[in-house]
Amino acid sequence: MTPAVFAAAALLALIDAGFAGFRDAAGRDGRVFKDELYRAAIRRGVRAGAFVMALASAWMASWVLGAGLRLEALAEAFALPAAIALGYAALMLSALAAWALGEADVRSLASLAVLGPFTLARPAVIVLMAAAGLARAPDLRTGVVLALPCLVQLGVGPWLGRRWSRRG
Amino acid sequence: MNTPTLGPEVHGRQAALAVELSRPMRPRERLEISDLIVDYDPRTLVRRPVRQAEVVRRLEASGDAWGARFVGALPAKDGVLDEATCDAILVRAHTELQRLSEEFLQVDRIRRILSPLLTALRSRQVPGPYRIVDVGCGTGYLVRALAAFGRLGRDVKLLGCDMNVALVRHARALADEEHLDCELFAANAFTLAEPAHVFLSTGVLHHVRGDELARFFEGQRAAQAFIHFDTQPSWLSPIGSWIFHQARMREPLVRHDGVVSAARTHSRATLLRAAASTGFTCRSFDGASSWWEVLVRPLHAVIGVRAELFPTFEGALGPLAARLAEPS
Repeated sequence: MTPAVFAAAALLALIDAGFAGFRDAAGRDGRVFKDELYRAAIRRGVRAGAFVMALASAWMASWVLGAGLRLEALAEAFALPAAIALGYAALMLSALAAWALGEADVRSLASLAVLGPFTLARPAVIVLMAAAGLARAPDLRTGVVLALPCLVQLGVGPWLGRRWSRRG
Repeated sequence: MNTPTLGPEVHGRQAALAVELSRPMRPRERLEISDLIVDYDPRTLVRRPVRQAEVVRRLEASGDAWGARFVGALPAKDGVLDEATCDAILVRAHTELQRLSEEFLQVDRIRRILSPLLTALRSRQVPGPYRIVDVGCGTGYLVRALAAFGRLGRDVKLLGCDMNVALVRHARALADEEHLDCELFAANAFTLAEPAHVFLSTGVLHHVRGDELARFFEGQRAAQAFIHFDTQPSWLSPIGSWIFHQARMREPLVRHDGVVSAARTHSRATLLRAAASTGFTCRSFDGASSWWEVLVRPLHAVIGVRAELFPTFEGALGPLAARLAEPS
């Protein structure tokens, strides 16, 4: 069960980072045909997400291997944050499927009722995950070990956006 | 600042924008910053300097402290707003706004009305080629996307007009880059040498205020039809607009104007009353009567078609004809 929980979390984090890459590119290029631009942006997001995930994994591994933190305790405490993430991802991916497959009215509904508001709510959802990790952890140390990687995920978007800031 | 004199033939978004600065303020009327920071003479298209203090004063008078601070922080020389900075902001703003059209499939929505309209023009043997002109086209996304995906026919010419030279220059560069068969002009859409058969716009009507609205429609009398989309007038629109712009847009100006524009949108009755001056058969399209419909169709349209073309157009619309509504 433990590896499955962390594997699911890693997958969700990568998907989230891919969308962060898309959002980073969206609205910056006025061309009509932007498929390749968006594909490249999503790849960039996934790469950034993989880097963040590697850092998070190293952070957690250092506590498990170096400080004797129990992996089972981490996984147990992570069940609630993982459930929040799964619920959020299910909602967003369903809306995205409706947007991708639907005609104009369905797309508008998916955008206005789900994709827009819940993209806006994403930072709050991640903070909620971190808080849930802290609350469910058997001790503060385990909670912090769990919460920090959640919060670092918030930095993927701004990190990707820094190259636009540099360009002015 | 000089008050421009607008003849009945001078209309369009930028024309309306040009008078925005000099018109007396209605009490607490909310203003869009994009209407205030550039100014073109609607007759000559010559750019006029915009005094920063005047824009700040107008925004403050409208109760918009944030907007006043935003404009107050823009670079200026001798009290005149820096044109290059304002142009760059507006190009970025229009590029971001393109997302609205992309996400709501606005081109598809327009194409589904344009195609029956073209069927009516052809079947009534109105001589072509049919010139479809996007009024206040900004960076020309609508025209460029119609050129890319519209499949409207070889007898159709797509044109976009805007008085903002910087936006049109950007639009042309984008069209050239993608080899799109459309023309973009820094011009008044209503005074083109070759007049339009069909006028289009998206998100322009709410910029045209007061008496200018009737003149905006009067300027289209020589055409065969018009299709003008704008945000649904609803209590939900400003809220939805705020959420959408916060989630999707980065430019502070876009976030500000997006909400203000949703609050300034005209009612269906106002639009149909103003459109009636053309003498066309005018209908509201996708006018929402509940909050649910606003979510499904965030934009509505006012459509006007010459009376002799209307029955063919309505027939060619098929099931979409049920979404037309007569003036009440």
